[in-house]
Amino acid sequence: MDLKRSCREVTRLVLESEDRELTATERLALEMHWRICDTCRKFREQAQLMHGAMARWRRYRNDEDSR
Amino acid sequence: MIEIARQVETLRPQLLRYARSQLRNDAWAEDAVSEAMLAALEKPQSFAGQSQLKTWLVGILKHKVIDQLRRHSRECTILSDDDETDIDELLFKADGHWREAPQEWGSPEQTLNQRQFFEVLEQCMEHLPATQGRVFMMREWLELGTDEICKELSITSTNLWVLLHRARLRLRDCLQQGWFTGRPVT
Repeated sequence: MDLKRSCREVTRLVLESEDRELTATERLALEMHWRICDTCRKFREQAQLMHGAMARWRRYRNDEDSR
Repeated sequence: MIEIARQVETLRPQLLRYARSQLRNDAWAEDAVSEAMLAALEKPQSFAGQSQLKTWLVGILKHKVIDQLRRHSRECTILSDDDETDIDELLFKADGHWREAPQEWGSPEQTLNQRQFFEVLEQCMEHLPATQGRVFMMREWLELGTDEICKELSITSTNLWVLLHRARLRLRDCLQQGWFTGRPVT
């Protein structure tokens, strides 16, 4: 299977990894893409920040006395 | 008993906001919150302070919200896409390249330590189109598994991934505008 993915496909995979287990080939395709694409690395960082934000938000909402 | 009634009432606006963000319907949200508040008042045990009460109430509220989703499942499953704009189309050119490169968001630590960031995040979630918002909150707030969400809403996992994908892209876009470039959320 061709490992080449467009930025659009890479973005979809990054986001889908929040909701399903990616296959090994998909993970490999991501790694290959990130090595050559600054832009998608930046998107990955944004996705990681959002992931962390959701975890902390859940804590605020569920437990901490907010606002 | 008077004390707990007062405390529950103080928390009501917050609980309503939470329920609304999930259910996207004021009447259902109000019912879910009322059921949770009734449960608190019926509880003989007292709570050590407001924050313990809140934790308990939010836990109950999640169950009541799921009950409401079930009760109204038929009305919720209108998946005739509530999102006219194809966010993918806005972000990517036909050849799959970014139209506008994602920007540097800086240190996550610094962002996540600011309480105001979470206010913007909540506003962005509340601005998601209804169906996307519901599935996103089912996943991120109610923490339901994808299989469970598909079952509750009678949709395929492919449908669900598309909805979640769009919700997450929109959220990112909203955070970019509402926080990282500092324009108000519209």
